[in-house]
Amino acid sequence: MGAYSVEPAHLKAAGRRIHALPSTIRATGGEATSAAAQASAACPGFQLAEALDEFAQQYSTVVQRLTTVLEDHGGGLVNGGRNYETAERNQSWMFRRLKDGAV
Amino acid sequence: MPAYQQLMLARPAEFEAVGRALTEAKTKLTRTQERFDTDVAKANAKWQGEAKDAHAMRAELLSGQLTGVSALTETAGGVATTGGEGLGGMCTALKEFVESIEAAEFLVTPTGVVTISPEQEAEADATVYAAPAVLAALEATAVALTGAIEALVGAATGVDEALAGAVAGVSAGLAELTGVLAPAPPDLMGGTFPADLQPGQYSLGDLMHFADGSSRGTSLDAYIHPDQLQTADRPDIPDDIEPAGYLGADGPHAKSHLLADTLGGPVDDPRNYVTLYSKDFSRANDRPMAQLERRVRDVVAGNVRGIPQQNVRYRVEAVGTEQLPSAVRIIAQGDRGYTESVLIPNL
Repeated sequence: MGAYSVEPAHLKAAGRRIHALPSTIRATGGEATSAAAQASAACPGFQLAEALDEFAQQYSTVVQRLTTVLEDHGGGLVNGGRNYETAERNQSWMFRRLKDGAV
Repeated sequence: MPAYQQLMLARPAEFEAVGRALTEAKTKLTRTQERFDTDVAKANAKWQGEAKDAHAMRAELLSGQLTGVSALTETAGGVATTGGEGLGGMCTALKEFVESIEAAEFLVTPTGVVTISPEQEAEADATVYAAPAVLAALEATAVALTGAIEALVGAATGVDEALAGAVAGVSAGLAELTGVLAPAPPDLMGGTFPADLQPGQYSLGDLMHFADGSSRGTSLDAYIHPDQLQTADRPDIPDDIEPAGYLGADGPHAKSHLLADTLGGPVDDPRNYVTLYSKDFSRANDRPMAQLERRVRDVVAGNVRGIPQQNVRYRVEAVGTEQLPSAVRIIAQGDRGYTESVLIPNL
């Protein structure tokens, strides 16, 4: 492993913002399926209505996945920042214990 | 395929509403992607090393997937909008044509067939000598008009089919992207976590026995669920629980849970206990162990801003074969990407 440098607080701040991003798109899946359902009701028998219905369902699914992936990506950054902090905290704890003659 | 009557009653403007919804969705997706790229750049700005490089690659992939979904949504929205306009125009033309036929006193059946009306027949009869010829001309006109309606219906049907095909193609692309967006989380435990352990359950390893008759816990697997978390009324550890190496209340140790009672660990099962250094809030049990347990608890409870609430697979191993374990190794892996892996020396 090569050298690295990091500011965990920076990672956590960015991660929190990314975790919150899906709020912008979360409702669009429902809006698309609702509009497509209305079009189907207004235009029975149209293949375009069926195709848009299917697309809206697929879009709704992809938005759910994107929501999860974005939240998890943000969570991963926050978690990464916390793990850097934990490693630092545990390492300093261990050296303090050794300095105090614990073993 | 829409039939004549369906074309007559359809409101294709609703397709345009779908187009607007998808266009609006595309705008929001683009905004989300731009913010994502900005936040990724900020995260990477003061970060160097292999983890940063791996993060940058993962973020680039996700940004590309957002671009892909945006583009497909925009395409579908465009087809819905232009398709709605086109089909709306065709339906309007059909209705106006039928109205003009009816204005000429022909009848149009619900299936789009043009026939002579009783009024037209009466008028033809009134011509007496020319009646058969007039009726024949009217019949021929009705047949021609029926053909014209069929042609309009056929044209609308063709356009409808073509538009549906275009949207289906975009849907296929979106389905492909959807599949890519479901990556399996990494398994830190190499497939060794008990597959039958359900959220809220735990499994304790066998006791390790010593020549002096004492014993201690060895390992634990738990699948921690919010319902397991204890918030109040933490029960006392029974007096008869005394893990190997424990020197009593006045000694430097704690009867340490492998699975903390706050995480739903049992208080009356000797397999859940080892002896760890404690006291003064600066030793293994009170500092790194307690801090880890609090972090896991916060994630399971959904109390960490920026980390999704999730159940956590939790493995604890007491390292070594002495009465006091030399260390405790803990791996925590959440269902949605939370991970911790620590080795806490028994100091």
